[in-house]
Amino acid sequence: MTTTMIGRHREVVKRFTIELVELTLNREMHDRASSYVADSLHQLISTLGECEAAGVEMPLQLQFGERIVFYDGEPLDSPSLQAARLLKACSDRNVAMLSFRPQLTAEELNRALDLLLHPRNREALQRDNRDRVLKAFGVRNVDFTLNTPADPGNRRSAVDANPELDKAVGQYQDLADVLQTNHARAYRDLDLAIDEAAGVVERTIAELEEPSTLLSLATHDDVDRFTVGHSVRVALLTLQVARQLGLAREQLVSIGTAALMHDIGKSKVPQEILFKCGRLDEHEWHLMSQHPRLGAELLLEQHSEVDPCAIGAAFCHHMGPHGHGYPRPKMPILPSGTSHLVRVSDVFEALTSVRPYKQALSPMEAFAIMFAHESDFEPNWLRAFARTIGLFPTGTRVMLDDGSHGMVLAQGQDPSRPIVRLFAGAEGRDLLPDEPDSILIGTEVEGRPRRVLAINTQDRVVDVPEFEELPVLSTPHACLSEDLARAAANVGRPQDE
Amino acid sequence: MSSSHQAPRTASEPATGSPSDHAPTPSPAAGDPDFRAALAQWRLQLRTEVKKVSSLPTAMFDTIDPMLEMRLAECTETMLHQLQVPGNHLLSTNNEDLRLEEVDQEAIRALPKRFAKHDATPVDLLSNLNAEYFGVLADMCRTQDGAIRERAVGLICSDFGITNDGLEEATEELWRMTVAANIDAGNDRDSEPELRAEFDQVTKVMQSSLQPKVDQDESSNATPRQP
Repeated sequence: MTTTMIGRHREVVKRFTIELVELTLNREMHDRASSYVADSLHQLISTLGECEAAGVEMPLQLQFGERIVFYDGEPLDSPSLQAARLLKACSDRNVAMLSFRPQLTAEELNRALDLLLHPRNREALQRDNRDRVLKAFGVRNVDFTLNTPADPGNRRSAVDANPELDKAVGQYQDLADVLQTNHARAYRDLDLAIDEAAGVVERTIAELEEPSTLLSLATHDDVDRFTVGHSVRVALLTLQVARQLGLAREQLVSIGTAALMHDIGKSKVPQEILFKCGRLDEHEWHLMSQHPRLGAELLLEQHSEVDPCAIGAAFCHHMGPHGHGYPRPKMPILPSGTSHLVRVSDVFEALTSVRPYKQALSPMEAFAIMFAHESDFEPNWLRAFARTIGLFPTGTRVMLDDGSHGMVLAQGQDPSRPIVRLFAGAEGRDLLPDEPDSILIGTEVEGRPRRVLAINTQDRVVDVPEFEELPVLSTPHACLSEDLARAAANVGRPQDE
Repeated sequence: MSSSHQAPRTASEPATGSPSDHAPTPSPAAGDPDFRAALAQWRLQLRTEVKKVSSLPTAMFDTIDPMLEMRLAECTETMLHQLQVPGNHLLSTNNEDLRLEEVDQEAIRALPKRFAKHDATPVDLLSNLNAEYFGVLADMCRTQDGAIRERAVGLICSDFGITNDGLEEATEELWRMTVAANIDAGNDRDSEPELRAEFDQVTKVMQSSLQPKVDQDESSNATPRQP
């Protein structure tokens, strides 16, 4: 099989997995007979057909680790980011692998999900019950392989463990999961679980204090593109900036929770409007524009647990510095520093992510647009955000001018010169044992400074222009921590120097 | 399936999807606005059509495979669904069809210098928190009613230390905060009378909310509760 074919197979299987995750989220949120679930079921069946047509081996087999979904032994990390419910359901039922036959129908799949997701069916798939239960439910085209050595076809052992990836994915899943829970609770008029959200944010802050791949994961969450995934990414961006300002842990938790919950009001906006691909009409726009007020109301009802800064961020994250934006209160409101930062993170995330109607912009393109509309933001916050995140945010995949490629590890003093961890050396060859595995962009190698030639966004490769070197700042960079400044200064140097 | 897995389902619980859940839905009355009932009726008709086209008697369907009729209907429905929404999935859409904002390369090249521009004032995440919080609560007082308004009034009173005794003094402090927000929003002093009128409305809501509590307190003092 050619590399292109394998790539195409993985793409369509990845899409199938994303849709399976979206289906489980819809089943969590809505009734099994709802039109939302029906649409998801039909979409998944259609994609299963595409998998078959693309030559993917049938039955299509997905394996389930503790935190990650695998296909053919390889991790599907981006579909796994919001798969916490699905993975937990599999883990609770000891399911190691699901196999889908092309004859599968929407209704049969819905029944299979009853077995996998409904709390009452938790023991239905135990070895003694499984075959009878599958017959009784009319499930013939989904196989549930249990995680027991005796179960034929169990391929769990073929899955490679990667503790670092597991940990980062787990943290992301926890953020997404607690937010999903809150959206579902708000949708059903139940009390929000704010303290749980704050607990997850606190653990995330601890995670960000160590070198982690968490931020790099935030650049490629493909599931549910503009509610839960969007809010998780906004929270991670906001926390990244807030951490650089040296706030106490308690304040960081408060600000991180505010950023995570800023769009909670969207759970009260009809989903037909929220996920509409085309332009919203006047009435639809009116409903959509109510989400900041609805979010503040939801949080207000929970005041004993919610910090006022979360209420403010929910209400003000679409308000500009001089009264423009929405909502338009009768008395002008002065947004807090937190709301200004959440607004900048919110817009940056929206510009750099894929939406049904547009491609993702690269971070530098997004910044160019935001600076062109600088008056829409509080300018000091826009600059503070830009300096911390950089032209090549942590986790960005970059190609250098010598053909080497890697991923941005941290920001340097100059926003166009980050620290890059190399995956491959010049011309794409393997790194030599004596070659440093990371490099500060701008550092001279073989007589010329290395520069970023291109970056990979979610769906395209973007050429990078040559940036002028900034004059050395006499004072330390406002958003560069001392540790990072030291790391930036030492990266790429031989150790004995 | 063992009986322990099929406890009776209550109306409020989601269906578990066992085969018994697929009883035919009653036909909707003419003009029935419930789309679910209409949809169920449409599905029933679809199955009937499938059965007719197959030219097999119902007994044959059941003998060969009890699920066959349903599966044929589902297959037809899926095909119809696909015809209605061709390529409606984001990732199946050709990326070239998606809009891509054009960005000037010079604007990108200028970014590092714009990032480096000196900030007039240092950023502070906790700045204006009180003014923002009061503004949101005041907005709730003016735009909402019922429980939300009561909650907002209660929070203004408790979180900004407003009592019946110190109402005037406290509201003046809030007024100063509101004026500062108004100026920061780019409005001039001419807009203040209008703003004051709006602010007074909020104060009235607070007063009316505080007053009954006082009356209640007084009345409860006047007539001690019976044991």
